[in-house]
Amino acid sequence: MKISLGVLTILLLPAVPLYAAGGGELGAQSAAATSPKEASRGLRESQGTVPRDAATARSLAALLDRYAAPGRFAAYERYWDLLGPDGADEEKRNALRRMVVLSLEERKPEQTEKYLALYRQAGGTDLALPDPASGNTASSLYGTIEIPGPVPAFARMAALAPDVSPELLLSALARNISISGYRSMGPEGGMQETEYLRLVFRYLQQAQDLAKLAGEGKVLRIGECESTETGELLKILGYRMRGGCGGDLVLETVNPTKAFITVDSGFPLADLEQALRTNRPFAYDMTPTKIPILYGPDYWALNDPKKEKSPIQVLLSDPALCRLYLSLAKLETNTAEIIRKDIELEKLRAFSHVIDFYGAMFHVENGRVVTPGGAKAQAKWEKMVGASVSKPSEFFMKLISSDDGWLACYYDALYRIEGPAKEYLTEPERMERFYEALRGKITSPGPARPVFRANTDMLIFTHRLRLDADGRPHIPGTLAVWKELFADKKFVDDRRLRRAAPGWRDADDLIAALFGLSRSYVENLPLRMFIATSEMNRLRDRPLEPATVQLLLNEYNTLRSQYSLLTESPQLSDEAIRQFVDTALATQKIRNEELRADTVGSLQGLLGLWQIYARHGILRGPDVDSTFRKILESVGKPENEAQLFANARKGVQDLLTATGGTGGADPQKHIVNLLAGVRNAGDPAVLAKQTQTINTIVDAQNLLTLTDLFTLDDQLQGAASGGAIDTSLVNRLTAQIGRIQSARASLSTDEKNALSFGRIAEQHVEHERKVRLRAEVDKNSNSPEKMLALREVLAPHLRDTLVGLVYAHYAPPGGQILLTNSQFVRYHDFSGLPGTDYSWAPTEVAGVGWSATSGGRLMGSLSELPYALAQAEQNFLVPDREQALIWGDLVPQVLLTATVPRWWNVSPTQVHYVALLQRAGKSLLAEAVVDATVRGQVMASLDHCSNPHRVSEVRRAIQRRDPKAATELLMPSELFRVGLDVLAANRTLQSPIYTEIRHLQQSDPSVKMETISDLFGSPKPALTHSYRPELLGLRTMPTMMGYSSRLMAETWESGALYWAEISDRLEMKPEELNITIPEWTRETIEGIFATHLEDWPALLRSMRRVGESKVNGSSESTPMGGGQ
Amino acid sequence: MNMKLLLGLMLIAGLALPVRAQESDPVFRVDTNLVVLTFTVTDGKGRYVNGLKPSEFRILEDGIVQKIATFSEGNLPAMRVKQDGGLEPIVPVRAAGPATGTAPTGRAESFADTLAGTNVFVLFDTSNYMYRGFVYASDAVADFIRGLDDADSVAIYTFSRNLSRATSLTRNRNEAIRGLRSAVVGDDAALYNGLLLTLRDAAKVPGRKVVIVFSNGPDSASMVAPDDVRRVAEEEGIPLYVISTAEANQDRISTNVFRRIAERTGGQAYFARSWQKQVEAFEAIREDLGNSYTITYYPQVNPNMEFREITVELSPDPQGKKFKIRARPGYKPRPGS
Repeated sequence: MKISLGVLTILLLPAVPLYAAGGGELGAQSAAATSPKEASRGLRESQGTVPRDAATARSLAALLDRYAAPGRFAAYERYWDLLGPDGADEEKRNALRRMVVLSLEERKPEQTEKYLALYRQAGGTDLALPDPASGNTASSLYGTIEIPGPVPAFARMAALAPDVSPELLLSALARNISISGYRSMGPEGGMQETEYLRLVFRYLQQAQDLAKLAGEGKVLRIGECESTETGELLKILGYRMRGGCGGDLVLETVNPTKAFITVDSGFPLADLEQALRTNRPFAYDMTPTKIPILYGPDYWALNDPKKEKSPIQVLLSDPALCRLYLSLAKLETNTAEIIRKDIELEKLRAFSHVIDFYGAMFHVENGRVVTPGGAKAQAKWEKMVGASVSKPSEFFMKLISSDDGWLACYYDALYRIEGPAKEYLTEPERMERFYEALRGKITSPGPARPVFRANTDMLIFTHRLRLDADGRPHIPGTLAVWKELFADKKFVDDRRLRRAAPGWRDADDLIAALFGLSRSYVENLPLRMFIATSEMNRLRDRPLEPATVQLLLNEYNTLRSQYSLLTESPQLSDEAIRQFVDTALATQKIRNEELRADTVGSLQGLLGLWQIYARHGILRGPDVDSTFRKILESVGKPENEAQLFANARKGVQDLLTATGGTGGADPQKHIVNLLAGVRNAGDPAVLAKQTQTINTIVDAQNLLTLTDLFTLDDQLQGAASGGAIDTSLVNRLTAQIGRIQSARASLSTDEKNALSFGRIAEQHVEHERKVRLRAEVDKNSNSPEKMLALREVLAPHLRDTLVGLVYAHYAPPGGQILLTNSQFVRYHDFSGLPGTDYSWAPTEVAGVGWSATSGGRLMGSLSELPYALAQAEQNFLVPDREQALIWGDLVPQVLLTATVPRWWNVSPTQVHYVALLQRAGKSLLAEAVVDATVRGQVMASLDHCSNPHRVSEVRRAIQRRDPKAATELLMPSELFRVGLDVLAANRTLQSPIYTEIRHLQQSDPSVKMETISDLFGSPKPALTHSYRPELLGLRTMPTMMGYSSRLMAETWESGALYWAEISDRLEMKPEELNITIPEWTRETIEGIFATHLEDWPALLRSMRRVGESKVNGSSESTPMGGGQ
Repeated sequence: MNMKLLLGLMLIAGLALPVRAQESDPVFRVDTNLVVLTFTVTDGKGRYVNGLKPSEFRILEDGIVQKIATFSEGNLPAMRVKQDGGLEPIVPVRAAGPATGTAPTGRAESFADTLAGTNVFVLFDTSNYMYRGFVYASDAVADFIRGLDDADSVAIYTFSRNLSRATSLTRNRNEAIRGLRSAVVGDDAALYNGLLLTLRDAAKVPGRKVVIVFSNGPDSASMVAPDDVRRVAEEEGIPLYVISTAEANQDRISTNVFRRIAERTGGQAYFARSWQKQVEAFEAIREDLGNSYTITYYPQVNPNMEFREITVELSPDPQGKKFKIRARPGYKPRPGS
């Protein structure tokens, strides 16, 4: 066989871009190719010229494989065919192995077996299909129960996701019942059904009545309008006929209770009405639906030994039983089975709350409990729990029943983490000591008593604890700083801790004290301070100096929400950070409230722009620090509005200078261009669209441009020395100011009275409106001093423009508020409620709903602006289906993944690399079916990023020879991780995908994990105290209390990774991600139908639906062509 | 043909531009400041006055007389107004491509169809506030849909915290009622958010349109203010009607707002005793739709970029003593117009 040099280059040395590799006849074609599509075309043309050239066929197969293009299997088949009987065995084996893997990926069992047999004929001995029966144990654990009528109707009434899988339906229901089915009536009153549960019961009754009416045929049939059946049916449905049978007939409510169930459950009332009007038959299938129930119905018949209730009623009647069902369904299957067999249901039910919150990590392997920390910690766990790991049921029973659940809570927290911190925390003596500190002397109330988990801070603490190079925990500042803090009653309420602190000798003492605080969610300020300052040090070359840490701790209460700004830029010096604190505190001393708000707004607007520029590398190196400091110096603490204008203008000048915007550049255009990414080379159409989006918002908000403001300022200054004023500019600005409307203008007295906040913000807008700029200029034209003083009327506008530009950068996709509420930016309330100072507080959404008919607005600082904007915008999303199950705690964070990062600096290679790794993950799952070594490596990787239940589900799918099901269980970030881990662990695996990944890793520094993390990560402000996009590869967190419900959403980091994979298949330019990711993310959210906040698979399903629709719906859907 | 008039006609039809009237014609671009004005004329006893001609109307904007481009009455197709005040049919103009944006209609209709009837967008409150009366309200909306003129199209939208597009514009009443009956109840009420999105959809649709809100108020989750939404309705020339019940009176703010936004956009707010007693309101709206006049014009040069007051005068009654004209009071021009 003859292989050209060009083909060899493509096949063996996948230089980047691989399709552009050159050399030889084919190489000449490939070198001319500007895209995979062209390379594919070139190879196909070569095939036309030399149809029997195996090398060309191999190149084409490899190319299609690397891009997951349709036709890749056929291409391999052709290549293998061309190799013929004389082909080298190794080449044949490589081709056949890929064909086996692709057959598995495509769920083609016969094809798999065929090519596996051929693989063996070619000398392959390392692949074997597992016994599929070994993967079926989970379904064998299920029995079935019947619910009357169709599932969609039941799902609507029970608020379940319409596309939930049958196996998950009851656990989703159990979750809803345990959370929303009952309310406590106080210590003596027991539990009372909620309206939600009453409706579910009413639905079941109606469904039973309908089923009874349907009779043995199980189908409701109405033959004609005037019949007894019609009357009976309408009676059950709660309707009656108005008008006689025929065209005038209308169905109207007669029993609102029943009618409500009819409509809310989605009964086809309109079809029935139409059938009756036209006297046509009506049929509705009421066949009972069988749904799987874990362990069969008998297991759950605890309180119904005589079986008087239906199984579904047994569950609905007992919230603790529901919670146990949910808990066991979440457990790793074999582990749950062991527990179920050995522990009585009644006992388990008593601790269902503990298993629900802290049981997800329970895992038994080879008959022994897998404990956090591995072998070294095992004996200590046995001691702490009081049972041997070789007796799993006893171990888990003691674990869940110890210390009101605190031990299980601790076990769960330590199991979830990975890396050096886990090693440190599970060192046996230390582990026991820290637990003693956590548990304290009084264990009640336990951590599983509230509705949500109460150990948020501990979970963040264990996840984010860092070790220094010496293996000791990183302590921000020095231990002395923390000793002083803990000794201060202002920060620590616990007298015992205060007394002990001065005697601390090392970091362990501090960590133990922090564990002691972590059990509380109201008194653990020092723990939060520790986490915040530790995060601040994480990416810094040099840790913060003790004096800086001390200052940050002292001002934590006032400025904590600003620390994310400081954390995000590790280039900031200690001096800069101290200067920031001083400047922020100084603004609080400005007595004039309006001047204070304008100063804070201008400063935060400038720092907001600085933050964006620093995040995206527009400001680099020392410029990050120096520009930050200059802005602080420039704005300072002005005496009046005129001075503020001059100061803020200087701040803008600092930004312009640092970003190359001097020398006659139009300041507004320059700033906007940088926000839109124009600094970076790219598709002009994409850049123009980004710029237009920002300018549209600036226009909609009626903001005066920086250029106009500064030009007028120049002229006002010039007038002092006899210069002329451009009246057309003044007239234009006067007209623009005249368009500012008062929120109160059209309100009634009642509405005005309902406006209970925002006094300073209103004054801000009113003062802007009342200025008659032209008249002021005319009136003062003879006085240079007064002309100069006119700057004071420009200062509030400059604040609005700076703030508005930051708003525009973070505007969520399809944003309606910024385009409709023209006062949204102006009414940003930096002051807050009367008697408070929100200047540096986290951004909040205020004024939602009727009580403030002037519309919602944002309040506080700009520190959480991206999140607050996403929160404000989320109710404008339009769900694809009628049942809006969009979760308010999840959506803003998902939106953030699309509004904070930018993909200006991403190269096609980087996009292709992350796509390759996800494809590798998918391919490795298929390889794991036939290759035991790979299977072990895949499982080991998943063990580090997933929970035991899901890992076991993946294992089971692999054993069932169904890698597609395994892929669907995993998030794109997990596939990415599997690709990385397994290829690092197994250097011998071969495929064009793996080869190209290895080649890129070896030859291209732009695919270093650090860079990829920056480019394709997601911001995690609650977890890392920073909006810096990152990939952390954490296990999905559970939902917890309050703000920490955001944590679960923050562990979702699949967005950009997945969209990159889609865009690679579509051969899009990387800069197009800036347009498509926000749009696709919005579509994804509109398609989420989750039963519960933790139902993140619903998010995954929606995302994949959107992604596949883009690939299938695009005219470029088969970029490299399909078939052969 | 007068080029400006042609532009106006195309805009009424909601045609995507650039448009080619014929192969040899130049490409026209839309001037977006065409004003669509829908109004009713009633006599002293509140009876609708029909059969008036365009020449009998005088439209003033801030006192400046406007030249009427098209005229229609009730559900009849719009007609071009000739120089002499006479009427002539609008010549079909084929669009070069689909309308921009996602117009909420799946209809494949003739050009003439798009100009006939009214596009009625029903926005039905399915929030927690409607829980008690939901089924009766649902019946009421169904009755309203059934009573619409055959020429009218109807879209059913529902809202609670988010908007749901239950049925796209259709003349098939069953389809609309099926969408209505598929609504799910519950959650917070973001009425004005939902209304804004409904108006944005309605704005993309050619022809005459109205939005009918069925709600008891109040709003608990909107980020936009009613008057911001009302401004959008004014700018787009879409009258808002609100059908509510006495229950809404528990929240005076909501009832005031309902009245204000309806009247300012040329619509009406109705508060019946209960959802079962809405016959009068439905009749009034249907009569409004069937007896209204729709006029379009391009504003004459006017330096006022703020609110422009619209006055409709009737030549048989220049002082407005005999007849009452109900129209939106004015509008705020789009920037750049």
